[in-house]
Amino acid sequence: MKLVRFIIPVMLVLSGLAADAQCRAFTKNKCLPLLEGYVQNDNYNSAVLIPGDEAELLLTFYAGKEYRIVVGSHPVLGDVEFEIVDTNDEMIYSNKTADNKSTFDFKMSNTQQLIVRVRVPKQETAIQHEGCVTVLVGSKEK
Amino acid sequence: MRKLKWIKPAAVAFGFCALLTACDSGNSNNNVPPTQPNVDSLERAKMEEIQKIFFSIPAPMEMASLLKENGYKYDAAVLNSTANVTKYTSEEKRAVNLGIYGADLSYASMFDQKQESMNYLAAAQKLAREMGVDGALQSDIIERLNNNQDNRDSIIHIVSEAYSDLNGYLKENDRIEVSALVVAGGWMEALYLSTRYTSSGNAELRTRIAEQKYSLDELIKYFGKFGDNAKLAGVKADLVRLQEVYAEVETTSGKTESSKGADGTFTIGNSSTSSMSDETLKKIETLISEIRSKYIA
Repeated sequence: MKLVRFIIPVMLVLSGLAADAQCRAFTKNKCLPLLEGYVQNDNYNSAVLIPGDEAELLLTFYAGKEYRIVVGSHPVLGDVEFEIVDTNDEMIYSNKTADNKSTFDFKMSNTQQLIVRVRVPKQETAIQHEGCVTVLVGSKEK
Repeated sequence: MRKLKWIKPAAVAFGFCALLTACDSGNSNNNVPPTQPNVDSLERAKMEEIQKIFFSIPAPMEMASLLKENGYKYDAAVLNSTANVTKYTSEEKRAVNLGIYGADLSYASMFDQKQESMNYLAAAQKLAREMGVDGALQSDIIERLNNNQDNRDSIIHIVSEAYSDLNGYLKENDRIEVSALVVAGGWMEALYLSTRYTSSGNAELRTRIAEQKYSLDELIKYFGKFGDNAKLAGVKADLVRLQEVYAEVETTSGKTESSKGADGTFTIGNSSTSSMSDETLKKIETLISEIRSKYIA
């Protein structure tokens, strides 16, 4: 029993570390290739989410630049929805209207902040699996 | 709907670990995370919560790109000399200068300065080693840069990815405060470099400097998530000083419009503006120079 008490916390810590390391590998191997043709221009944004989670990222986009947003998610999470809204919460784009595509390309006519909102669909299963969700931003070099 | 609350049942953690192990692409370069002593469980829980926060400001490469696009010349004299790397002994200075060297590396690579890029990468790697986060800048980067010396686009991609991966490594290996300091250092250096070119009177550059108000506000909000963390207090105080000057920048906002052109290009924009007086610009130039001098000394 003592051994079990020891093993479970250790395994939980190790599983957390493994999950983190896997998110970085997931980002590099599965998400970065989707930015092809664009230069990544943000810092690292990847987290472990579970069904029902919602995450937001406020970003500044500059006038005259062409951007690509990539929202990559582990398949175990299902069709992760993402939308772009302005700071007044006015909807600009939802990937639901684009067959749940994981990328969105656009050009900015002037500088403004936009919010990328990511929603992981709820699951009606006994075990709620979690998985990495990564948001990447890239811009085109002129 | 819950927004990033991070208490998870054990079964989920085990399930996830098993599932993700299955989808690992076999990248064996993930270094063993350094252990961090003296972190109690409450502190760890707080750090884990911050790890889940999505936070982003434009990378230094974006400002370097604007300078290059506007036809400015590369000026090695404005960068933090790589010879200074041996001066940095505190964790704060090492982390901030890791960000500063990252921004200088971005600037050098944007201007196709191959040898300078290599020098700044080596300086950044030295700092990372001294901080015990060698894995943050993977050893193959110099080799990749060497192999792509004649391809500026490839170099820019390698440097951009390295900057992001550096932050990813730090966040995921319990060095999230260091990551915050690196991002702040990179942002401050990019702002400093841009202010070195304002004498040209370029309106676009001036506007871009004014627009840094958005990033600065986000950066300070992010630092606020750490509470009264002593490791971040000095940089946070300096950012707040800058914010006080940036309060003079005038911003307007308008309704966002979006449209899809005949070629399928999606365009987004509104009538928002950011502007500042000559006096405010001068204050920003002076203050960022003063703050930066303190960290690179």
